Amino acid sequence: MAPAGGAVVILTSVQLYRHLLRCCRQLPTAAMQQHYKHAIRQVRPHCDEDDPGRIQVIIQRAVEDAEWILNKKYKQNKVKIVTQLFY
Amino acid sequence: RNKALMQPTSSNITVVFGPPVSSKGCITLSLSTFFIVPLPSPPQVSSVGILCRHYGDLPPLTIEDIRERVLYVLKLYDKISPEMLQQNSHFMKDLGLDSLDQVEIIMAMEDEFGFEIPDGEAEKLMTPEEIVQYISDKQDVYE
Repeated sequence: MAPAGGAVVILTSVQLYRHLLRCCRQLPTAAMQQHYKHAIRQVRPHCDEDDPGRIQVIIQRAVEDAEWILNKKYKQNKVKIVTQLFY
Repeated sequence: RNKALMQPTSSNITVVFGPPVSSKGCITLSLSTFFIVPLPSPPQVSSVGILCRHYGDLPPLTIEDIRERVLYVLKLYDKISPEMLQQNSHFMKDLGLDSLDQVEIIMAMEDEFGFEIPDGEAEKLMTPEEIVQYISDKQDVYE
């Protein structure tokens, strides 16, 4: 499920985690990949979150941030990545 | 000179021009300057050697190779103790991992074997043996 390939269905936090790790693979250098992988692992302190509304806010915010970073990387190639969310 | 070299032995011959040097050190041209040397036979290359070459391709995978590589990747994962790891250890029940660790393990397997595992099937892979079986099926490796 490549983020640039179209719609990405993210309903759960596990799907979000997998989606973000896959986004990391598109980053150009190994150093950037390691940096953002480490940042992704910082979602673990939120694992005791039990409010569904709050979880959806976290998911939406994380997907938007990942999209922003990838678009920043692809800006020179004039490729726009749009990730659609289905709740 | 060897007389055998001077006689044409087969149709596969070539003519070599070589002026002999006289005993006095001056070059004399005569009929004996033409002598015939048979060409060496073409090198014999066995067809087996050609068939065994894989060029840029990898050698064929076996189930044992896949099992070894899967266990190697799992042993390198920092939250798994290599002593507790067995073929049929359940990631969550036996090794104490959570669902996010399982996602990371599957991503590591994708990196190791170079292909992507769809989300729906990745969620079902909970033991090393299941991963080995899944990769064997996808790579067309049979016992």
